[in-house]
Amino acid sequence: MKKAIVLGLALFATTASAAITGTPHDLLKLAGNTASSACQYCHMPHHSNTAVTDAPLWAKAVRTSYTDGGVAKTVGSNSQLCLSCHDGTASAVTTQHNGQTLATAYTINGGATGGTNVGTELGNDHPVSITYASAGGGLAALVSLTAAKTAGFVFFGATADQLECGSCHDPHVQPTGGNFLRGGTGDFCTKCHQK
Amino acid sequence: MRLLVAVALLAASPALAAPGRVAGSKHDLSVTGPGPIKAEQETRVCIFCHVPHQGSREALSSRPDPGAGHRPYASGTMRARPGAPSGASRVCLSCHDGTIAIGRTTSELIAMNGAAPGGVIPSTRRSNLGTDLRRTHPISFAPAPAASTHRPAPHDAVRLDRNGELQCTACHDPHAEYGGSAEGKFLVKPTAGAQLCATCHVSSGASSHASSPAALPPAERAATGYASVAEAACMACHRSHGGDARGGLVARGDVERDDALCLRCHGGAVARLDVALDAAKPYSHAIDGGRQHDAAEGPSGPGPRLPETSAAAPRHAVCVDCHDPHEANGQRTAAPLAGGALAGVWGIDLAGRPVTPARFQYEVCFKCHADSANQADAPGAVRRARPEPNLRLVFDPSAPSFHPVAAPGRNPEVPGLLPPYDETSLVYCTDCHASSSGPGAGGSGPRGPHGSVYPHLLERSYSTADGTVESAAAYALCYKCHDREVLLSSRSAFPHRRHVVDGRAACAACHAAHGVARTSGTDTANAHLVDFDLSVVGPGPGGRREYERRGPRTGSCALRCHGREHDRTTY
Repeated sequence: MKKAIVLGLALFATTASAAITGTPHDLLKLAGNTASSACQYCHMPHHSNTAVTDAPLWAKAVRTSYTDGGVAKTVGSNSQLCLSCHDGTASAVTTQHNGQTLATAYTINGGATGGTNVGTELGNDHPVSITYASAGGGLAALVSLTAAKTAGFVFFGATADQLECGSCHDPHVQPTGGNFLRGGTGDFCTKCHQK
Repeated sequence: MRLLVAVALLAASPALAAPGRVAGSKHDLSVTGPGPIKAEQETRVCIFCHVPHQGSREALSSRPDPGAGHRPYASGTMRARPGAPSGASRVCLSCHDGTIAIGRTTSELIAMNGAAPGGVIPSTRRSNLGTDLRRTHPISFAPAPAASTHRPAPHDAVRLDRNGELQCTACHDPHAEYGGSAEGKFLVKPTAGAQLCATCHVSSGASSHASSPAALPPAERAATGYASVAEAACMACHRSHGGDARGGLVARGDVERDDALCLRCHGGAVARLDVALDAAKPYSHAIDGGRQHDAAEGPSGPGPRLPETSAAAPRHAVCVDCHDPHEANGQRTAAPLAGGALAGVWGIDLAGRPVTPARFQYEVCFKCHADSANQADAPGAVRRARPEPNLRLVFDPSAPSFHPVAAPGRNPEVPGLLPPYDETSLVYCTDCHASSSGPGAGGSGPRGPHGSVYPHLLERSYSTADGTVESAAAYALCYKCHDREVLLSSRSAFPHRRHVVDGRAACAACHAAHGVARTSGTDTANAHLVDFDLSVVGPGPGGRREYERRGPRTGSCALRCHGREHDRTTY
């Protein structure tokens, strides 16, 4: 956990808004925005959301009610942060505590289901908030947790073995292949899945 | 930095296809894939089937749904009824039914090389199964364990899906082309020696097919990749994909006759004995072997009725009516027991009940030659006073007289029985009805009633024509067991010589070879298989045409034969 926080903070600290600029996460380019920095859409230095464990000075309210195949799904804090935009339920980019609207009439993916709008039903997405375990066959034929970390993936939780959105995605670094994937695309899946 | 290096190294390595991985297998459709069908530029491997977001609930598939319109597998012998494909099978079929472009995902169209127009798998490739799934192993059903099938064991390489249903993925792991078998095809186990099939399908292993070292014909060898019958096992006769559309996954074309598959090996090519020679003889069991046989036929159940209940039902006899290729073997037995050749086949017992498997050879014959409503006299058959087409009644131990097929005969004093026969012996139907070139006839062809040059599919000559000049050859069939010398001498109580030699009456003029049923005959009038040939024996004094058994070695006849009247003439 500590390591994750350190890593998260390090990324936050060292990844200047220059890295965000021009990427899909640079919401400054949105029409009607009133923010002074791209960071503001996700982070705020004061009065941030403390309801979320380990939240990196989160600016937005989060949702905790998600489903997986119609069954209620508990989502880890890291994924809650991402989903606070990517579940498509927010109709405007609004910060939580002072209610400042940084961009109006913004819905992710133009309001359409699919693409960057993963919805609140997570059954059609790669599972998150699961313990990474390499034991067993079939889909569980995974590289070891250590190997996955060595390959660049990040894990969360008290024992740093929880897979969340941030395991595969680094919201601050957009590689050539896009999608904020840690280490790009290509043979991405097989870095964990021994298929 | 170290992390970046590691990532860079990993990123540079995917061209090296590890065994059991998609990369480098036929399912690697990326630009670096090895198969004839691959992307023009796409480097991602997984994307053709999976997507991390907005995938299907089934394995996060990226594939469009193949829709409706699949014709499911159907077979009368299968208890489960597969419906529309479900689960993972829909993902597989989204490429393999040949209706959706290989490069089509739910979000994009990846440009491909080597695909047919429309981007689909070319129809000439066996991996294009089409939407008619009658030719392919049933999928998307929950197996209903029965005597012949069971579910795969826990932790077996063959797995049902989370709903307990069998999907394509039971036998195929799409991620491991050579994961379980050297033959590829993404099988989880080799098919050689029935390893894959026997996971669910129960077989006693007693069949000669299971152990035969005989070499497959070159064409079959090329198609299956197997050298011997035993190695090919199930695949010698079945195709998991591309079987006969009527079910059973039989490796047979849609217009081929039922027996074509068997004769491919048993027509002189692989098996030692050539049954095709017998089948081509003028009197053969295979003459009706078109495409009428249904593995589900029987006294009840979903298939056609057998014994036939309609006089209009077409008669048929094909190899698998009498032989179960999964059980048949060379075990020889004594009458009346069913030998290895008939092992596993069902029959009809003396009481008319189905019996599985048949215990006695005659029970197999009774399937078609007893209660069947569509029996007709063979051309040239003797017209008798007491006809009874139901041989089950004729051979019943309570019948007035019968050849000893189901029980020892009723005559305690049969003159001139040749060793090893005596009055307690039983005989097989096939002691009389057999190949005219088999061992019983002194030949080297196959045993059994496959075909003969003699009418009624008899092993030897049996003349029924009035006026036949008696000879060892004319009645060779009768003389096989009944000593000609004794019968034609004074040691026979009945004056056979006077009738058969002097009067040139055929054996069949007075005797019905099978016997006379209780339903139509009596102990006195129809003892000793007596039932007159109506074309030879006419009514005598008082309009009577009858034999009367008066005791051991004595009886009388009242009739008119060859112009001579017998008025209760005794012997």
